[in-house]
Amino acid sequence: MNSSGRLCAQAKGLKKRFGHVVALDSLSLDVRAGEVLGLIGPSGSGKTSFVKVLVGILTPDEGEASVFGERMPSRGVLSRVGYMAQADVLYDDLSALDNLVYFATLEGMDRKTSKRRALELIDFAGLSGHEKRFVREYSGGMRKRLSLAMALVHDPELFVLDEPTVGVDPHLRQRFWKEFADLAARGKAIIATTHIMDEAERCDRLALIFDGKVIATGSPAEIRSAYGVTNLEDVFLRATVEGAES
Amino acid sequence: MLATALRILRQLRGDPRTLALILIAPLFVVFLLHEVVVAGQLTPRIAVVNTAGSVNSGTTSSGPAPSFSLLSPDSVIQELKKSSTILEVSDAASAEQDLRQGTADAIVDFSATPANVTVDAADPSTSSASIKAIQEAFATAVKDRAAAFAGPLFASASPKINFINGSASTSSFDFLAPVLLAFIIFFFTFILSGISFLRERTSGTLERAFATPLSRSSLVGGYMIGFGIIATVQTILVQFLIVGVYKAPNAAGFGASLAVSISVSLAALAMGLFLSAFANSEFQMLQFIPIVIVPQILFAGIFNLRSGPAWINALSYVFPLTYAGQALRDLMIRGKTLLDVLPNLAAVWGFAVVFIVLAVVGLGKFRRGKG
Repeated sequence: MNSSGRLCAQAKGLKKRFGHVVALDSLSLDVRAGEVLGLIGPSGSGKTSFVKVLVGILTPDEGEASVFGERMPSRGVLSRVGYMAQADVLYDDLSALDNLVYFATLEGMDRKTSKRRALELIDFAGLSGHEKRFVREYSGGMRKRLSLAMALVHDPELFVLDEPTVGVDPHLRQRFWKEFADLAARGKAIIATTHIMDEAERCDRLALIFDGKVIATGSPAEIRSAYGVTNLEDVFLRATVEGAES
Repeated sequence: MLATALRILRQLRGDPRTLALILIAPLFVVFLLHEVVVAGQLTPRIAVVNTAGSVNSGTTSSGPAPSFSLLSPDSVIQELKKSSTILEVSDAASAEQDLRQGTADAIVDFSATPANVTVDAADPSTSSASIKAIQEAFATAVKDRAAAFAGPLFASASPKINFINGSASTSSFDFLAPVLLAFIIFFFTFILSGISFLRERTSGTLERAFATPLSRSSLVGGYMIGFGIIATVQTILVQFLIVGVYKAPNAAGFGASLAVSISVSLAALAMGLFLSAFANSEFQMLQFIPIVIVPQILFAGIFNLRSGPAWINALSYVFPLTYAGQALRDLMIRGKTLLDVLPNLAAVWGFAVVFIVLAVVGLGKFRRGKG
């Protein structure tokens, strides 16, 4: 954990309603350079809404989120943010290479750099030899690797990853989390949502989100001891029960 | 902007079926319409009975000279053959059977004076064609005979007809062609751009692209350029079929009408992009067809509304195809220049600009903040 790192993103009192449903309820949280921040909480607790506010595709009703000091939504700062959406969002009728090149260009790279960078990431994602194939022919794991590569394409400083390992086999999951740790070690900030408790154990810091609020933050060990349990799975279950009772 | 345009073209290359549909379907529709309109100029089938006798030319006549007052059925049938298919039938009963079974459209029975004509009135297009053919045949037969007795008088009964904006051989397809061109371009571009943009929204790629510094206007601009290129290719093909193959008149030349057609495609593109924001599925996008497309078929110049109610004439001015159709007719049939049709062309551009702006504004739902 690195609490002294530079502040990368900060949310203060975020509120968001969708009709009668409260998605975010005074959510405040920040993330610093060099840390992997894990967001855990049951489905519908507001993790995805929070993540979307950070990348500027959802505007909160109240409160504010800022990324590198710029209040979101702000277009310019997005070139420093790498986003991985919950679903694999790819252009099925494009090749993997064309997908990467297009997003690299959107991030502001020129065509030549985009192409070089795309090829690097094809290699990184283990997709060499498949880069000219249409994404619609890809397996689930290949799509996930390509989605991660797309978040990395412009070498951002902050990563916002919404359930990056859903539908990923255990072997690939290990690789993904090793990559996140490497990125943090290089001074990047990572925010990742997850349902998987052994992934939560690998985070530097966790934020428990329930009903649109952060109900606890701290290292995995701190969270465990605060709830008096030996594994995070129990924290998750306890929090869910307590939240439902309150 | 160019990156998005290029991406759209690459996507279409990755989906050859859709690409083929975009380029071939409009040609197929033109082909079908051409066949239908040309086949619509039908030849009536007329059964003739009792051809042995001679008939009076029309109203009762008891003139003394039979050679003057009576027409031979043969002379009438000779005239009828020029416009109709003749079925020679032995008796009235079997002629009536033909009519009831639909193998004949009309009967001319020469046994009475004047001749008796019976017409199947079920289909107005065949009955009116039959009546016209029969009346013309009788009139011509009478005139030819009468000319022998009073030539100059009867010659003066046939005024010489002169034409502007075409000739006697101008077919209804020729007159429809300009509006048809505009309509087909509009329809296919609207559907293609609308559904593509909708898919971008429902698949989440739109949201994902807006998690990058991409601006709304450069996304819409990229769409306009990418689909504009496709629409231009489509337009050239359709225009080539209508003008080059089916020989519809194009007095103002290929370039002038192409300029209008491309303007139509840009207006359709912009409307498709804008309206797709109000649809949540491909099915809902198709629901715009009765609202946006069908009224334009009815009101934008395919049918002549001159004697229609005032509100329909007023309504026709809210549709871009009305202006485009007028501009293309003026160019292709009436031989006007681009400068002459500038007001109508400017109206089409107006639609394009308004809907581009609306599409960009509408995207504010997905991309907050400036640009």
